[in-house]
Amino acid sequence: MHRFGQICGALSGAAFSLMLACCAAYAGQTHQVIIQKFEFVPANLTIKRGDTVEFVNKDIAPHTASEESDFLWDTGELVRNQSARIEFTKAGTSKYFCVFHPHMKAEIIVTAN
Amino acid sequence: MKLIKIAAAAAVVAASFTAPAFAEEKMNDLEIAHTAYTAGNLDIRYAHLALALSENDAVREFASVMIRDHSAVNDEAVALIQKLDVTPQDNGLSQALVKGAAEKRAEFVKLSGKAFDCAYAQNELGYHQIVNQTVEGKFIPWTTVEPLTALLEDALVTFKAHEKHAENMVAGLHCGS
Repeated sequence: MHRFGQICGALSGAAFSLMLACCAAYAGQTHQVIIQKFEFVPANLTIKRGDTVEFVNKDIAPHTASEESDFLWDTGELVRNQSARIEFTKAGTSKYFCVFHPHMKAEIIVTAN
Repeated sequence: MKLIKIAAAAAVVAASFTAPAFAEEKMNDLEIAHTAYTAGNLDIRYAHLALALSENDAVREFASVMIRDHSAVNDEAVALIQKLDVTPQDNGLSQALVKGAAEKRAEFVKLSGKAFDCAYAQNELGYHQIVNQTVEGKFIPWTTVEPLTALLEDALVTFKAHEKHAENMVAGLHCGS
């Protein structure tokens, strides 16, 4: 009986741990997009919902990373070596560009996790 | 056809910059720094004129980019000059650029509307073509101070983007029609 109790206790403990693991909020990772030589690198980035992207400008010229359809997100002006972080909370494809140099385009694909 | 028009316009404008014998004789680091800074400042002055005279969105957007980007490049140049504790050296090419730009601005202020937009846009295309050829083919090979070479290389990336932007602006204005 004592042994049965121990097994039940261990099992319920494991089940509780599993439940915690299953339902804990996704912590999210941070990815980097480097802006260099008038390009976003990488130009295509796939991340998970809840992840954060850090945009870092390495050019002399100021740039932005701005969502293309309706400025749903925007880093604002980034001078050389300045960075900004954007958290992506919705799944989908996010096309973006630099408002100062509109030929600079890239996209981020956010998958449901 | 569009390319031919752009090339023709650029050739006409570029001809006005070859008159002062753009960097025919080898220049030293301090002269190159002075000329590069001067060229940037002149383009900023053209841009301010464009913002004052043009009502065309594409032209105004381009002018704003020129002010922002050339100011950033020149700020870096000033920081480098201060770090190296040197004084850029005025020279014949810088003086010729200043004189040529003053003459151009005097022409531009007499224009308005599409005539101004086209003159400004074509001048920007020719200006960046000549500056880029000079920076890439002469200034960068001639410099002996590594940080100055690196700055010119970084700046060239920006100026080449401007040249492409100017090409698109000229094409969009349909100046030949």
